[in-house]
Amino acid sequence: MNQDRKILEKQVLGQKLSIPKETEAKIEAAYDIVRAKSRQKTKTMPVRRRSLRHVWAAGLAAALIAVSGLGVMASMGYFTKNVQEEGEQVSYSFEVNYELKPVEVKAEPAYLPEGMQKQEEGKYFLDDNYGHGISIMPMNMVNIDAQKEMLDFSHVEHVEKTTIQNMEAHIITYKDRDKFLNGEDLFLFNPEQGYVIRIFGDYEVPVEEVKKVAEGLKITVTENADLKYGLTAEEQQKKAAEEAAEEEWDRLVEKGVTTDQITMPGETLKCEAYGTSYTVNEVKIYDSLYDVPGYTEQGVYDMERLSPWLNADGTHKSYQRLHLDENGKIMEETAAAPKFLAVNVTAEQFIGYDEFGDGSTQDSTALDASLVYVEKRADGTWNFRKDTYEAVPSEQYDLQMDDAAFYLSQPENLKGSERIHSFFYRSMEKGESIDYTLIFAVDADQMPGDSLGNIVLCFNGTGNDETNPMWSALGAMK
Amino acid sequence: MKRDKTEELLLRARACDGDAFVELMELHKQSMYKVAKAYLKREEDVADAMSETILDCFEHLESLREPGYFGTWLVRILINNCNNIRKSNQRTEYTDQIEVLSGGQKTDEKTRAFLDYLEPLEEQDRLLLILFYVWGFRTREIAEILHIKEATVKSRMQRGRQKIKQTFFPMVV
Repeated sequence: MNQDRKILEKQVLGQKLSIPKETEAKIEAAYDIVRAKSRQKTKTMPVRRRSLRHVWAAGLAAALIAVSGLGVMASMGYFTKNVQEEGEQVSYSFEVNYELKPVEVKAEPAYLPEGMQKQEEGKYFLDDNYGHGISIMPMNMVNIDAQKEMLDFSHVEHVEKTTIQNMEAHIITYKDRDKFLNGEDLFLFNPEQGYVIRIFGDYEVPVEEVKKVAEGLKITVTENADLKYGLTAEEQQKKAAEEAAEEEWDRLVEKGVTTDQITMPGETLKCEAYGTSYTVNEVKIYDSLYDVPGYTEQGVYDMERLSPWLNADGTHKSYQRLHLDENGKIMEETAAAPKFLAVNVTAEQFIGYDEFGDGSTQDSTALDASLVYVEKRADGTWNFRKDTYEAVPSEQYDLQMDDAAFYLSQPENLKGSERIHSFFYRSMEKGESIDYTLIFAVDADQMPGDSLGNIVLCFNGTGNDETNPMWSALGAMK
Repeated sequence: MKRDKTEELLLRARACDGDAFVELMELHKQSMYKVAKAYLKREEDVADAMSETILDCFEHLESLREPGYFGTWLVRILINNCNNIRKSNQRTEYTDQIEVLSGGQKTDEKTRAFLDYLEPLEEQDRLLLILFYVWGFRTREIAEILHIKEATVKSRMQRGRQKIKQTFFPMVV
């Protein structure tokens, strides 16, 4: 009977609940903000793999608008479409006819590639692996109005213009598909009925299959009195508040850090919030991982990430790397040769976990840290380096992901989910301290002459607040 | 080297792919809803907690260093937001009466059953069961999320189950 009760417990708690429309609407509104911010971020932030094509576009978007290019005005109706094609860049913008009432549009595929199944609304996958999916995104006029100037594509190999289901269709394929793991985009434009349908195929899905999906789409258009252009006063207020908060965040991050705010090797960084202090004792660079004193496989967080990149003698294999400027534009592709950076640290838990009060006691100490590449500005302050370096996507090189350590000399949590979640954590008594070593992979050219003046450590136990970073130097900061 | 879906979506989301972030949130939407629903009485508060959590996660995605921590990180943010909303409500007009957890709202049958099942429990115990059964966290992870000791998690879960047993299975020995 006890077992029956547990099964019932699991069934009742595990069943899918119906989320009310009003709640869904708020969630959708949050998603809209996220999407808008994402588009904004691509224009200002260094970014990582797989979205490179969006980034490349962003840098040139403004210039494209100024250039007359090959503008094509589509037929009138709910919208007119302007297409700018310039070299490898393609940009779409829309002029909306606000006289016509927007309608709702839905699209369901009648055809899907073999084995592909609907996983959720608009998402169809062969399995859980990235690269095998198709996404179908119907856009009504309100959606189009919200992102009418944001459909920019770069690194484009070809735009095939054809007709599918009596609609103008554009099929965008990208250069170096295998290298950058780019799929393809297919657009169906219907200015007469007021919608655009975008179909995105992942890089493992052949473009012909994406076309077949488009040809078999069952599209329904219905009236929806709730669809309205523009933002309500409340939405505008929220948007303004979000923008103000974002500006303030940027301002705080931009102010940077003075040299005397950075903790030097041998000095102790105290983090009151978590009651932990960190002291960098020694920093050494090794060609071979096996030369790091005390190295054992047990200390490697994820051998699957490490082993493909290790030579038999413990040196790091080279990998293809991109250098991107602050706008995400690729400056250069080179072969990078990483070395191993071993940092010996002493951590002390100087406040007991049960002394924090307010019911928010912690029960373990974070030992890990990540590298932060910094640069000195004209006013003498240090800040995050604007340029970034990323592995070419097809390399599938993750060992430097997030510039995090891949090794801890004395891990406590080694099994199952504890390993996943708590590998770099350790339960410590008040007053207890521990000496340990973290190892990072660092490209040799990032440490010219083994200099570490432009790399600092950010211990996870400091809270990682970018507006008030608590950095530990690895060498002289000049 | 295959990555799991959450990791893939995280990578893409960090690369400013808003759609990937939305997909990531959609994967966890049901689980998030259940936590918020267990915490907050009013549906509009639940909606606020979820939307705030989505925005907070997006804003601070870069601070999440290890994809394996995503679940615990997300649920911590959600719980913080639920707590903030509750504090804000307490400062105004709403009282903290768990007895009326499911009262006064239009709920479908499944949601009603879900809330009824949790109703005999204290708030913290409700949360523990959801984190355990819905999110699939182990007691050690729940202890980390709630900053309590693992032994406390186990004893509270035991206490919660006992209450459910007394309420729904009084004749079971």
